[in-house]
Amino acid sequence: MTTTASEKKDSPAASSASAAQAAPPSDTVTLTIDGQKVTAKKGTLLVEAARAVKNEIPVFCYHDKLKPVGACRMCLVEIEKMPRLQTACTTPVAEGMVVKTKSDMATGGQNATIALLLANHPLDCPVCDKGGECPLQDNTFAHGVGTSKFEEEKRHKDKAFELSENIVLDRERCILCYRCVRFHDEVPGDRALAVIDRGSHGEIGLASGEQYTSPFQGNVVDICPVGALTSRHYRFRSRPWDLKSQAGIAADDPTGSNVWIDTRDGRVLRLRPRENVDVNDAWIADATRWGTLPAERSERLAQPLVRKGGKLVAVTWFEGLRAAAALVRNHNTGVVATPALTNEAYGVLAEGGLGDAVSVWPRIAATSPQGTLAGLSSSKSVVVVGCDPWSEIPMLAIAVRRALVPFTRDGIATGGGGKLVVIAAENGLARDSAAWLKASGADLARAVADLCDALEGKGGSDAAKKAAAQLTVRPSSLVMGPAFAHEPGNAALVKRLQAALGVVDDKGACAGFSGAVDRYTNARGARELLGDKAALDAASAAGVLGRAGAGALDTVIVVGDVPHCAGFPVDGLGKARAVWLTASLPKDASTKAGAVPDVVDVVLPLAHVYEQGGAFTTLDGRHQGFDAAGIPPSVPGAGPDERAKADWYALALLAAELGRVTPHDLKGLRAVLSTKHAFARIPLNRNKTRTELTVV
Amino acid sequence: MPLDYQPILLPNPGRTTAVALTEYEQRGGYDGLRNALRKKPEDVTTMVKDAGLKGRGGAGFPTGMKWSFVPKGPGPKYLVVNADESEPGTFKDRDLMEIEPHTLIEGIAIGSYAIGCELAFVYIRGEYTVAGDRLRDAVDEAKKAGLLGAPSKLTRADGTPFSLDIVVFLGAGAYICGEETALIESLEGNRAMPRSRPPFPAVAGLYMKPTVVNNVETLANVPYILAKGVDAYKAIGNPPNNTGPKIYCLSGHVKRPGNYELPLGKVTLRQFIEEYGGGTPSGRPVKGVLPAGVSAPIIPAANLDAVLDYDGIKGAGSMLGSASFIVMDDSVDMLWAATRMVEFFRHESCGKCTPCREGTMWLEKTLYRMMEGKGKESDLETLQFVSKQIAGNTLCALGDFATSPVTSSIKHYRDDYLAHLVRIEKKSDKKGDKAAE
Ligand SMILES: Cc1cc2nc3c(=O)[nH]c(=O)nc-3n(C[C@H](O)[C@H](O)[C@H](O)COP(=O)(O)O)c2cc1C
Ligand code: SF4
Ligand code: SF4
Ligand code: FES
Repeated sequence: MTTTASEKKDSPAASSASAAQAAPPSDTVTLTIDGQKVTAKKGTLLVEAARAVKNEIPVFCYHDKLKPVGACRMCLVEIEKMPRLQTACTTPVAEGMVVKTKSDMATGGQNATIALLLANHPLDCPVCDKGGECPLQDNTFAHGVGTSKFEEEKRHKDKAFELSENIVLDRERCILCYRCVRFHDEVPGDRALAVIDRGSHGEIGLASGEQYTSPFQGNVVDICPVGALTSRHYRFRSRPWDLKSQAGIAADDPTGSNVWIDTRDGRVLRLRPRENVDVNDAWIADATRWGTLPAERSERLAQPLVRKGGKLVAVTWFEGLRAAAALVRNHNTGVVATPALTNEAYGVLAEGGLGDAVSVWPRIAATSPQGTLAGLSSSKSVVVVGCDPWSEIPMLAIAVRRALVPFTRDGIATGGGGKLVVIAAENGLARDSAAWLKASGADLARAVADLCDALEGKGGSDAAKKAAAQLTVRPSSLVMGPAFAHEPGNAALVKRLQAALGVVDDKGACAGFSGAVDRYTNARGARELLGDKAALDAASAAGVLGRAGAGALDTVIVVGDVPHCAGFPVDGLGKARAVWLTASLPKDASTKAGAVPDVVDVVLPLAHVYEQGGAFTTLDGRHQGFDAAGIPPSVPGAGPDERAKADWYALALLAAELGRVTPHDLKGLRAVLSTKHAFARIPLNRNKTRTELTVV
Repeated sequence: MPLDYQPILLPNPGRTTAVALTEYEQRGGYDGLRNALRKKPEDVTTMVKDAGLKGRGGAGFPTGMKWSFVPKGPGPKYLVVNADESEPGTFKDRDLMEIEPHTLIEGIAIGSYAIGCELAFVYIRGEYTVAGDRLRDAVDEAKKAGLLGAPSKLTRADGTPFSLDIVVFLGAGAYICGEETALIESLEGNRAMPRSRPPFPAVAGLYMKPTVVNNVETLANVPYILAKGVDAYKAIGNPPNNTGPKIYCLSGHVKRPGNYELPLGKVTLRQFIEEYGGGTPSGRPVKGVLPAGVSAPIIPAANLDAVLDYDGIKGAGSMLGSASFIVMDDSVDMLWAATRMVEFFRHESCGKCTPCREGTMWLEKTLYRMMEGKGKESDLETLQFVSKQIAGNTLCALGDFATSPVTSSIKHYRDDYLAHLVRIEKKSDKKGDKAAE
């Protein structure tokens, strides 16, 4: 993989050598690699054992998160008593093994591979996106021979084959390591890419009649060891060495994918997965990768807008805050917060008392799930009801799949073996399910009751009995769509299914996962900080929208934008006036028809998530903090204060304007919040391949 | 003088129809299986080991030893018969299946009993439709007679019924499907690309379960061992390393091409060509012989006194492999021959691993250029250099195979190469069959 040394450094899993020392002695073997004694766990692959002692054996096809295939022959090493060179990526360590990775014989094999790969390679590095972060370049410098013996003409293939609207393939650059094909076969399991033709004509493509529609396409760009796969969203935009990478958290993913945010001059140009074996492993969904990139800074609204004489006028923050405060002061005010704000913003709302009531909109589940996604991934019985993680929360689909199919960690297959029953309409997980009880709408409840009957041994249909027979091993997990879980009439049924599945043990502990899954980034953070009441339907009689509609509120502060759910809750505001804190408006919002709804009197521009610091809480209760990576839009020529602001900062400023003081800096705010909330005690900007999970 | 030898595997030379079950049983067929079922499975394996039977698929690996690697515990195990027979000049398994299908089935049954397999597969190359049909018919016959089935009417030594079903599967015709792990992939419905070992098939093969892959001829040897005993088997051939009968395929420049069953180690290559093949049709001297289809080094005329067995052919600088002898008289331009063989391997390379995928292509390009008369003396060095980059570095043996025609022809027939360097006009008319690809 293209992980840099620094990324790998703090991975506890990568240091098999030290991990091994803790294991019982019978579990380990001692071998010699280039004269160095190495103790490693049995089953460890040579390439990983060497890596653990900082001896990098060159690889192309090997990727620590994919099954080793031994295809490229880059990692050839000499092993004493073996007549031929062996591939370090497929050979497990053995007691007393003596390995030479730099002997004449070994380098001879490695050089041969490089030479043969380069013989057909176009060598167009100066115009290649991968230039500067290309293992082929690196391995060539380190292990290649200088001159080419080949004088025949190179093979010509497609230079820009469009696999999809996102991905372009340069078939001349491709070295046929099959990482991309293997990724789709193994991780999402959608077998999206195929090898076409044979031998030296072999190329990567789509099986005939197929289209590349996987929601995980971008990952193949990351793992392609050369510049053969490129993203059409990023091609030729920048050279890697011009980019600054900063650790961040996905703006749209409730499972909390860890990302690298690559910026140039403060502008966010690309997102890449950041390894965290407990969260997203090394992958992210395309929706995160391409769907959450902020628009060009200069195209976005940087100044507050205030309605004067019916027209929106750009003003300074000083004026904007004053206008907003005027609408709140001495008025009945409610707050509508989206479930994608930072915990710090919810903290200000909870502490600062900006309004009499806070509602979360769109609606989120009333209670948080029990258990963890790691528990889900290690469950032996999984039931999914009324949702399609594949399309709604793609990374959750991978978490479910891990329970079913072994996945690869440090080159070794692990986990899997669980069974899945899906009760839902059309479903991306159906392919991996042991049973699929097709149902939707009101039929869902009937199908669940049917399965409960079968699980409880009280009859049930044949299909339900067959499904129930798959669900006998524990731990078990239950994943529910919010719509099904919200339905008041289903409450007893949900309890019954949880009991029948045994998701919670006698002591009340949930070793798997159980609950409704919201698709919004920080629904859990909102619920935990704003309280259960905020999670009630905003449009109900007690909710902020309901009260505004009934004429009980004069002002509504709407905070945020919702990925997956564009639009502002105009309907139901009644006669109330609105203050809108948003990151979604273009710079010409004041004049653009329909950009700002008529009910809005004040607009306060927010920074994009990737341009601010804060913390999110994943749907399984993992708090993850992040620092600003990009720079928010600002007003040209104006002072440093005249720019779009972090959600918590804008709220804190508004609170201050109203005389309710909360700290204006992130550190201070977190210090205040930390007395009550665990998330604020977890440092921001941690780049760890594992992060601790604190379920509150 | 041809040897006085009563063939065992193909006892009816010249026959074209299949031997039916009744006829097979009349000549003692399935006695081997019945004997085996009276013994413990591991004792059957020991007999095969003691008999010295080596794999006839190419690598010559001791069969009993291969069976003994299969773990003894519970859970499914598979026996897979390699009937892909795609090596140029190889046609012995075809005769065995078309004419003596029950010998193979009996061998499969004995092997399955020995390793604890209840479902065996025969992977036949796609073009062998007749063999496929006849084998299927024979399986049905054996099932009806209660010799096969789940369970069959036969009883094992431990008193439980013997249970075995055989699936006959026709591939889609690719050389690489003969490599045992690619064959397993293909059988599973995947692209035929070899797997990296470990794990070996004996531990994790078909559907990741313990699997033995054996060649057709290998298994066809087994009934005799069980029916007549280890000593009788060892009396055939040239013990200890070269026991049993062997079918030699003979083709190329000979008057009488065909399958010849002989004991291992009893005739020389020269005798074989002269006395069995009748010599070259042109009467011209033999220039070289390929002993294993195109997969092993060419044996030059100087080594024709090599004995036909594993050790003898090895001593002549080559490998017995599938024992498919292709004879070339002195009209053959060895550069042309090497080019044609490399062309075959380039075409059949599955492309999974770099050295074979890229290397065969470069070998072919350079050879084509030489055939066009545009060669330089330094090209010989390049060819050898590229061969060295391939050999020993590939995932499966196909890569090694691909280099042997080049390195052996340069070694023994350097002049043929040099002749092309000076040639101005093209004289590559024999290249015409490239279109046949
Ligand atoms: C490229 C390649 C092609 C092969 N083709 C065949 C084949 O057509 N038939 C066969 O029996 N073995 C073939 N083999 C050998 C098999 O991999 C394997 O060694 C053999 O089936 C084992 O059976 P045995 O032990 O009974 O000989 C081939 C090997 C390679 C590398
Ligand atoms: S496109 Fe990239 S990842 Fe895919 S096989 Fe080619 S080199 Fe490997
Ligand atoms: S040696 Fe050739 S045939 Fe064998 S795996 Fe490699 S590319 Fe495929
Ligand atoms: S890295 Fe080991 S063979 Fe490719």
